[in-house]
Amino acid sequence: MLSEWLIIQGIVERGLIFSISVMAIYITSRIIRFDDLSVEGSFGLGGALMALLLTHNMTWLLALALITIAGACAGLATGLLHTKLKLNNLISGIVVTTALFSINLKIAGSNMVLGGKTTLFNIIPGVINMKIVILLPAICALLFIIKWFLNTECGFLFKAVGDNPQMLTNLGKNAHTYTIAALMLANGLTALAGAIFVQYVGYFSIWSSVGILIIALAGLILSETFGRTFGFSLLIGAILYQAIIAATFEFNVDPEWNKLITALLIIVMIALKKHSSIFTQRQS
Amino acid sequence: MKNKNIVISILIISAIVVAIIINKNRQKNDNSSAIIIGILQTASHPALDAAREGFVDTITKNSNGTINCIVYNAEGSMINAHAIAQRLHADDSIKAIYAIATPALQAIASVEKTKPILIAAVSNPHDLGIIHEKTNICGTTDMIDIPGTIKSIKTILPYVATIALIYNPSESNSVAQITIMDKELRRHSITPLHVGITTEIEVPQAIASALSKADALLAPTDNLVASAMPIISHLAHQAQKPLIASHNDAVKQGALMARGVDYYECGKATAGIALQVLCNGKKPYNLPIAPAKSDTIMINKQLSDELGITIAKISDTIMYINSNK
Amino acid sequence: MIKFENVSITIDGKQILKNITCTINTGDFIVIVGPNGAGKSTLFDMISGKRIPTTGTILLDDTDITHLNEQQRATVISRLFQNPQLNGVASMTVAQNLALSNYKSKTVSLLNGITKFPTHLMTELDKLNLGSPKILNTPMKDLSGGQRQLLAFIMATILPPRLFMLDEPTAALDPQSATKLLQFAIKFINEHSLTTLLITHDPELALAIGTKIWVLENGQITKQFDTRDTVTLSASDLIGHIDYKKLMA
Repeated sequence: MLSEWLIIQGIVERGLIFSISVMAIYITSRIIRFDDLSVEGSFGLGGALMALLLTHNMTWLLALALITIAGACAGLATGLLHTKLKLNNLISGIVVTTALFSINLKIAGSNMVLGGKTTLFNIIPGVINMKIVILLPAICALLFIIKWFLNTECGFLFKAVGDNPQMLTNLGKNAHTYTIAALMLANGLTALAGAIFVQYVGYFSIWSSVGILIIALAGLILSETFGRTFGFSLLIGAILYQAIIAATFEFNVDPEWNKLITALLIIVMIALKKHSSIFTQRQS
Repeated sequence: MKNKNIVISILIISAIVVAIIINKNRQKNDNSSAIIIGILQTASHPALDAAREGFVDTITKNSNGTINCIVYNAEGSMINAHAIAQRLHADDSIKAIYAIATPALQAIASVEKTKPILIAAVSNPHDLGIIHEKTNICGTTDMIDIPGTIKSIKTILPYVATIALIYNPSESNSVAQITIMDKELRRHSITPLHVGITTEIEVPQAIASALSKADALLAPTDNLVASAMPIISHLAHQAQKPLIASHNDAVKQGALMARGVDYYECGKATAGIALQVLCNGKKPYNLPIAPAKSDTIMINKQLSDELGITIAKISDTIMYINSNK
Repeated sequence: MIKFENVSITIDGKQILKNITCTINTGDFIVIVGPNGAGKSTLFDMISGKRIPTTGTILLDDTDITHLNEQQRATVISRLFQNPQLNGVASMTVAQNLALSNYKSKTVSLLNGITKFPTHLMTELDKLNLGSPKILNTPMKDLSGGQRQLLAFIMATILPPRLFMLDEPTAALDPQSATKLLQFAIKFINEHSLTTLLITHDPELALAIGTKIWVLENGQITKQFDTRDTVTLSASDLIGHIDYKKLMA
């Protein structure tokens, strides 16, 4: 019983951390409708900076604030490449991620150990093995703050710029400004996720951001099974994907089949969601 | 409509959970008395596979069925490594963990503080900040004897004036080795040239460029180089320049020589340590982590003939290997 | 108010508008007619700032606005597009769209997005059957064509602009919805003395409303008429018509 709980705890904890990048990708893909591939670069940037700043004895809180700003700069770069140099959305994101790989490597090397510095997870002494106690309220709070923001005038303009940029021009507002602002928000969030992840595992590795894009996208797609609005469904989607990954290891098949099994499980989940909504449509 | 989606999703999740529980119970009944070692392999490539095989073969031979191994592979993803590590930590039937390569070690060390962790294919475990006085980590490293290697190069290939160092700058093990190699090469009046590669796709271009500027290529124990060994050795052969590697399997794949690590032997040695911990009750912190022996030089017979290299008398043992063809 | 001096524009090597010189005076209600491809929408693009002329100058009250972009001109010029998708945010609700339109010429704040909902328009919305809570909470894309255009009109005129441009507003509407929209539009334009430009294919409409008619053919304004003239004009004088009797013979 205890061991099952530990596995579930791990799944929920990782899911909660990655749900921040699901929130970010929701903002870019669903709200401003800009497929931003700089997620991996920003996640790594957050992690590298966290490792660097902590080992140089900065407090974790200040570090998190600076890191969010740094992530926002990555978003700014992606946005400027698109609006000023007219690069395609996908290319802008790829260029930024590629550049960030080298930058992250320079910041923290390929591997940097935190070495027992005080982190977010030391807030409540004694719960170092129950990080979920800190993560759950923190991520929920973040979710509420972003949700509040998306319902402000600025948030409305984000929705407008994704649906009909002409609307902003009609209002005398600069559509590019709001696209860039949304990219800055999203990348700031992803950098935050990377920084929290590094505190969670205790070290930074340049390889930690590999696969983040898939995790964020899969989390988003799975979250749409539970609802299309910005809310708890994002957390659930992220956690569900981690559960699927964990489940693939339980089946004890030749490990080389793992990725195929993950893909199959995702297809099953989505197919069943489509099937059930067809079913309910026919009924009503 | 939303409620129906949630109900269906919960049903699927429950079905998966039930399947997992049934599977696990079946496992438990099969081997109720055996000790299980959980193996966490960082990625699939020949060197790490060899480390795994050496370990598993030795355990099977010497335990008379009392110890079994379960293999998990993170396939290069640090996040998967963490998911697996959590699983290994949580499962009470797993009594010890064998971590192959640094990412696997870091992942398991961040969650598992009590069960013994055995390691292989890790160059610098002490630099990771995870080994303390009463540590649960023990095993072997794959740190090569760099001064010895450079000395052998100087003796066997005295004409070499510039050597290109081929490595992946995002592997901390490699960076550590390269720093020492650079120093040793300069000490022997050989100019080092740093060539960094981060993905397999960059390899042909980078190697071609290196071959045009250097007299020979030298690679540390590097995961990317190990994966790309066939193409690297092919290009070196085409240019008729020596390729010196740091793991012995490379010689079969076309490297001229390696005074290095045999990963199968590393796995074997770590298995020996595992048996001491699990069967003889030794404590991990009492078993120092030792580098695998590396004073045998492996030389590729066909290549050395082709390049016209006569091996002078040196103190190390020399073994001639034929290529895999 | 707005003067065009020798304005021409070449797009993709083809000259769409040729040496247009004209004046729009404050209070004018000009209906622009002409065959397809004459350049009517391009003329609108030049006035609103979506396109910059290749040659020539555009003046607003004697200030040269030729190089001001669409966003800069939007504070004084409002435009209703032919494509309904461009007149609002289809995925947001009616209430949200109305609030959004009220952001014009105001700095964006962090207040709740719906705060600037124009409550003073509720009586008007009720009269048009657009004021019920059900409708207010419907996404704009789920409204009927007629409702959508009516709403777009209201949104574009929440802050009465100095120049209002309508690009074939009734083109996709059935006669009933078209009538409803035009009744509302004309009343509003007259009440606020809005300077208006309206593009239409319907010559009868051109003769019925407005103070002036401009005929645009092949990138040039070939004829200009005044309200006095329209009494003696017929539809075919403007742009020709479909002779249905001849078709059936």
